Amino acid sequence: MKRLLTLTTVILLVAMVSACTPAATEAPTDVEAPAATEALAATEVPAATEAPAAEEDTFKVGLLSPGPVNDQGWNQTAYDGLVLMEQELGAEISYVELGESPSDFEKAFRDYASQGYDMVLGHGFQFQDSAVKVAAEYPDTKFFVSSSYYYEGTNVYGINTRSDQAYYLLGVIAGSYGDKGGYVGGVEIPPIKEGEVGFINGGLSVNPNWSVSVAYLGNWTDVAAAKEAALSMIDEGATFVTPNANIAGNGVYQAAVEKDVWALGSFGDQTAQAPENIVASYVLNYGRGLVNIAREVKEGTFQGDSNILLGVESPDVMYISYNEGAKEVVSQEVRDKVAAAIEGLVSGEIDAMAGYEQ
Amino acid sequence: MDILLLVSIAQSILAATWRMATPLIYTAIGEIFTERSGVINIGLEGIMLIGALSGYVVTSYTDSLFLGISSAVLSGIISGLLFSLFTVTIKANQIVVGAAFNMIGTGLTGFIYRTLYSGGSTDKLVLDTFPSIKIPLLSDIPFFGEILFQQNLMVYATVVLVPLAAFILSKTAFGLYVKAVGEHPKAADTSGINVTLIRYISTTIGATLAALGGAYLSMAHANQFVEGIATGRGFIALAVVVFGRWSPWGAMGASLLFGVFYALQLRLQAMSGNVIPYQFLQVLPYLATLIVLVSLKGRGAEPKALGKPYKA
Repeated sequence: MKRLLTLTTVILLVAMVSACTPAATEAPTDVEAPAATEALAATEVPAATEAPAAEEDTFKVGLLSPGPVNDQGWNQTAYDGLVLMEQELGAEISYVELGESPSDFEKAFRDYASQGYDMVLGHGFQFQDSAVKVAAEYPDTKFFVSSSYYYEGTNVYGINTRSDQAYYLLGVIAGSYGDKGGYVGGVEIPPIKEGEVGFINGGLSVNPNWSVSVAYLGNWTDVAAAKEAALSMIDEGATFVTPNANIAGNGVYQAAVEKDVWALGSFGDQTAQAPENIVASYVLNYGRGLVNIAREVKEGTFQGDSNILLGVESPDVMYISYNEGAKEVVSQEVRDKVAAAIEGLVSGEIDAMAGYEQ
Repeated sequence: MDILLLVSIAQSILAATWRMATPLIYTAIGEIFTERSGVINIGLEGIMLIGALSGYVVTSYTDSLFLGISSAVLSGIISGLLFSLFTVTIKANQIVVGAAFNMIGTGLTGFIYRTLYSGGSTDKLVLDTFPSIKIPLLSDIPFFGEILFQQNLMVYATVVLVPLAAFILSKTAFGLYVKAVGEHPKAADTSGINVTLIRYISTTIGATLAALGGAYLSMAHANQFVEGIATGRGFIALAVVVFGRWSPWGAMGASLLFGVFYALQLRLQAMSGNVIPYQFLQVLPYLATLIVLVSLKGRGAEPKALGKPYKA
């Protein structure tokens, strides 16, 4: 009996594994998804091992990624930028996927810098300390750190995005149509809080009666809780809901569809999530932002006298994408208001974070 | 605040309560079978993820909710058999195997999801979920109509599941065998009960219901899979089993209690003029469950042979 059961289970297991295999091969591998093996190899030697006869003036860029670069999310934003640098700037690119051990970070930074890389990006705040440590030894290399405000006059530059500006613009749209918005955040960390403040201020700039109902989930994955939070807000009278909670935020669009209110997409064109109810999305093209920086570094026009903030002043990096197929398309009048707000934000006349003390 | 407003708030909180409690009810009821037979499966979180993904993938490719649910059930059966193989036949440490299932569930579902859906068209990502079914006449009852009679099929199913599980455990021969095996496997074995078989069946029932609980999240509540969608519900279900004292009705009560406070805290956050820090509000469901547990003194019903592999 026991043997029979073991046998059956083994057969089932084999069946399961073989059932998975064809699916894996069918996968759209054309997504420039680098083979896992390649990535693994890179962990050991991030060096451009295959680099043919290193020409001195080849522009070289290295990336330290905190996870798989084809994750369709945070890590991929940097990888996409890296690929664009290769295509548009003829840069020689290399990346390494790292775990969570800071000693690896330092080694990876050092590996790149010692091989004369012009630019190395640590994609996440956790890389900041290692970058600072290594950078002092390699003054010819520029070190960039994502999600960081770091700048101390050295060759380490923090890069951050102005989510307050993006949500300010969404607030302008929502406030032009309704009196109450809903904002579902993941965890109350500075970039998410800044989005909330921007959303409130943007709405207030066009509608004195504007108010925002806010809820935080305490995580980035609970799509069901995000939906329930949005449903509560809609019940409280919100007619425009928007998430800032990574993938969990998708539940917010679903709530908007169910209750037939409007939704505003975050971080990318989310129209597919709710084709009739999402009237506009804010798009953050982080990869484009990185290419812009790389171009300046390559051409020697990089100022390098402050940390870097990616915001609406670069219309190809952060912009509003309107959904022309929505049940109600955003009117030209409101789009003009948004354009005016962008001008104000760029010139500094408008402070999206007004009234907020950090 | 006027009464009408309060009533409407209570109504929407209670409707949300049942929706939030449903995945816990499925998973906890399943775990009751598993634990009553003397096996503890802490891999519920991983199995929920596996169920959520397989249901989602099959539905997104076939557009059939029935096939999706069937594949979630199948993935649960396979997980359950695998878990039994390691814990009942090979007699490995149940906690370790459970932990392994959590890791495998997280890793495997993330890997398969990315492989299948990364970079592809996004139109496939969103499913048509189980629609909410309005029960004629009853759904028009003021207040209770929206709470009780405008839910979807998987939520209604819990109304059948709980009494059915209670009936099986207390009134059928199989239920008696399960409890006997969990209390005193040696005695059960001596009296001719096949301990191995009973544990295989109970563990597989447990894993299947956990997979259904996961599938509810990706197919009936949210309309898509996201990595880590279970967000700790597998672990909460484990606690629910203890709070419910290994009884299906108790588990349902504990799930609903958790659900009502979860819905309440989201609502409190969303209310205008809320000044309570959200971190505090988020503790509410856990705090309430804990308080109820402590105040409900009673005999422990923990199966005596829980977690111990049976060596004949």
